[in-house]
Amino acid sequence: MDSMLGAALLFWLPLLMIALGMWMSSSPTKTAIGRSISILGLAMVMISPWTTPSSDSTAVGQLLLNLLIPVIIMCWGLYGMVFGGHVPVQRLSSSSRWLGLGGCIVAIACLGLMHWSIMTPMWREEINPYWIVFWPTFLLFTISMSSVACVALLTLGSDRLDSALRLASLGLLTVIITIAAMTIDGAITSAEAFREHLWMASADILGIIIGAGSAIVVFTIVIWTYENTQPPPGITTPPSAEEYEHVAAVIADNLGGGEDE
Amino acid sequence: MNDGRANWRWLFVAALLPVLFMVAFDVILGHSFPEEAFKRFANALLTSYILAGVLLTGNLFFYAGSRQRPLAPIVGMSIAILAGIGITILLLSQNDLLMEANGSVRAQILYNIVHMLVSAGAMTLAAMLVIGSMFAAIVSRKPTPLFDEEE
Repeated sequence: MDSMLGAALLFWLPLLMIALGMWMSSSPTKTAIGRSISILGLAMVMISPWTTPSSDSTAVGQLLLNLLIPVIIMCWGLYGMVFGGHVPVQRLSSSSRWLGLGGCIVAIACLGLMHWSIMTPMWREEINPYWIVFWPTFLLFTISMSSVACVALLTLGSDRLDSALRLASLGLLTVIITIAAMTIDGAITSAEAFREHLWMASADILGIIIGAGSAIVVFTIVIWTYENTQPPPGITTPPSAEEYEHVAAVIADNLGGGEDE
Repeated sequence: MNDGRANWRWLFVAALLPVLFMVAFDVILGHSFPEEAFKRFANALLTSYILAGVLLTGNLFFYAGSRQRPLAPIVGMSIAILAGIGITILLLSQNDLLMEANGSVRAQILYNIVHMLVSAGAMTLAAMLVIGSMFAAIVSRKPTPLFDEEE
């Protein structure tokens, strides 16, 4: 198979399938089909380094495979931490909270080991180019989000100092990891290279936020302009006798009550 | 609870301050603003604009059934997206303006898409971790009763 055609069919098409499946799953009648399509697409993207080895883009499939286990552990940990707390529904045992915390720490430690040990995601015997995009972006955004969440807890909530301090510990941990990566060389990435990628990650985050924000602004303008061109709704005719009867029947069904009430 | 305006200002400062701190720390270590960062910013901005536009147009199409699926907003958004694609191709064609380490405009566009998916994935995972931790921190203490029980 031609390499371009192979990449189109075995990488880009599955990538589209993930998006399409997610779209379809938002419809209540097509949830199962949508999820199946997304999972199939994701699996095909993950195995794309073997199905289309000539395409450079398939490095992202390799990265997804490398990140699969830490992400699953993190999700499991967060589930345990949230539902092991004082929630009104589906509460797990209190030990789940500590197990969940342990899971999250293990997941972050795994990501850290990917930077400082031989676990670094590789691609064609070099460092995976998307790993050095993912790692600084993840760290920087976690720091920023933790800071926002702490301030939100303190300013929007009341008597939330203890929760904010617990959350601040996550931000502090991420700051320590980032400063360590900026000063201590990784297994393959040097501290100087990491610092350069940190600038790129800042540019990336800012670009994505402004770009997506611009699209939302344009979308709002388009909808607002369209709605402004619509004629005002006319005066509706009074209900017909049949409609009155239907309304009366609905009200009769919902009013009153049995003798036992 | 404080007033909304003050809160938004604090949230904005809270989002920016850690990033500025990291950048300042990098400058102290002797590193300066890399020229490639501007290219990355512009590529990320244009790519996210186009992909978010496509996403919004898709939603507009699927959720407009109750309004007899009006065509005008879809056409309007399509023009906005096409303008974004046009600007991207135009700027990428200007030799070294936005081109990173890729050989052709098409390669750069495909790289931009994959790069944005990775960055967006990292941001989503980070958001998930922080929001999950925030909920965990909130539910870690017993809820305070809304009303004191009568003796």
